[in-house]
Amino acid sequence: MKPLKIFFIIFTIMVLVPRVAFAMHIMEGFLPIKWCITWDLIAFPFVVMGILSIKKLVNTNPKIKMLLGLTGAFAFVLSALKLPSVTGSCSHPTGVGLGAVLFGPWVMSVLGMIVLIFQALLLAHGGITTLGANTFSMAVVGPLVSYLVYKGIKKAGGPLWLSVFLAAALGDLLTYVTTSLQLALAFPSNPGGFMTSFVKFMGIFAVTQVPLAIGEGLLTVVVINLLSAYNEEALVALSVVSKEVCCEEYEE
Amino acid sequence: MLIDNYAYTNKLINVHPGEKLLFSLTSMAVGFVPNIYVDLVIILMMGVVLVWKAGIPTKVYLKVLVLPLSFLLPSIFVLMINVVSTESQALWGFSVFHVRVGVTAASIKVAGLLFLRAMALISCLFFLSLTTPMIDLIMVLEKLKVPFIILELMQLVYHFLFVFMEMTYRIYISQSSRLGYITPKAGINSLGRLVTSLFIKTYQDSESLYVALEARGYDGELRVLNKNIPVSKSNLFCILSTELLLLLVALVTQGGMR
Repeated sequence: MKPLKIFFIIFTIMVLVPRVAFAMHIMEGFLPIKWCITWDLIAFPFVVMGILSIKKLVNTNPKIKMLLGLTGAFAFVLSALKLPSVTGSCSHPTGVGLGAVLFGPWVMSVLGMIVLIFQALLLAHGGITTLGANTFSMAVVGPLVSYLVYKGIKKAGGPLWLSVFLAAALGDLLTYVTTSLQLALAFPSNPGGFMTSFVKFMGIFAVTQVPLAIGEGLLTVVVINLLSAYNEEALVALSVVSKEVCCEEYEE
Repeated sequence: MLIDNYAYTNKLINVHPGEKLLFSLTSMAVGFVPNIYVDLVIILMMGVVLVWKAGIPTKVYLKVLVLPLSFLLPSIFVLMINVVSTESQALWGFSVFHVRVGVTAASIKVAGLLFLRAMALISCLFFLSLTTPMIDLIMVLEKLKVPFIILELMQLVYHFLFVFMEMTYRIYISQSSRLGYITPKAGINSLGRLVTSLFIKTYQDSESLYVALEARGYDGELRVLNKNIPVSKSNLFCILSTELLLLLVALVTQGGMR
């Protein structure tokens, strides 16, 4: 290859890397209407499950409603922070793993959707027509994966830091995989079809998002450690939300 | 937050929020028609309505409109680049690991169409968010029978978001003034501490909020007074005729770039 071309490719990557990191929200108007409706329908039952489980929680302890509302605000603020990453680029932590570990996956589907609505309206990240797709990737798949990974490693007797780290990192990664899947389904590349397009999106995400997922994993470990070190009370109170999780942390 | 400020100070604040929601959503629906002229008309129309009717300064609106570009342009760029089988197909290309990658005329068309549609829908979104305060929107959603628990949570999120933003900003400033973000490793540690204190604040505030509400006779539901704005029939007529005109543009121009 000519040096000019190599330079151009490096330049392109440098331009893209810090930006695409943000692009895990699918923009308003980016998906064709067919896929907007499809993802709305797919995300819908999970949100209903979330509403039912929140109602149940609130019935057992009315304080939970305040806590959940404020946690939503917390998640919004978290998403506006910059996460220092290994490559030096920046992205925002999603808080998906943290929320799923603390509150369980169903609650996160509703909270995540609300945060996504606010991000669309107040910050113009994501959008109303792509709300279903974004909810599915960030508020359904991410938390579910995080929660299952966390539980699985706990059950296998792994240390707390490892389970939290992997839960947050894998939850992040699977969110990106879902987003690439959604984009590839909506935009199959013209020669090559769905698979080529999926590989293309995944390739970009692999370069940019793996370091970020590791960053988010580390951050979540730091947060859980600090939390269990100096605010036992809060974690015990949270145990109403997801019993086993916090009791285990409390013991450690 | 720039957008939120204008939601309360624009000139359309006393228009029924349902009408604004209807206008924004129907324009979005029309925006899905694959026709570049319709998209261009929507972008222009929203700009004109926001600047003239809502009184948003042109400079501010342009600034807001640039916000999504940093997300949109890279995504469009990625879509434009495809694997090409033959040399002749590509207008411009390069090889990665013996796979020929390039830009074709077809992919530029797809990307251009998509860019305009996204911008059209984004300007509809901006119309909604720049003219309608969140509280009004929640009121409309209540009329639309969205589950009450979601609306309550939305109110709480909206209220505390600003409190937490302020706090985060302050902690961040004081941390960075003490070189808390000088290396990635220190950064992770500092950010972890920031998130932790934010979370503890979240927990404590939720406790005191509950106590405060209980003291004022809280019985499990947060009720707020709704504004009483009448629905204007002439506005509804204007909205519907605008959307019909847009559809007419789509019919006359027959898909534009397609």
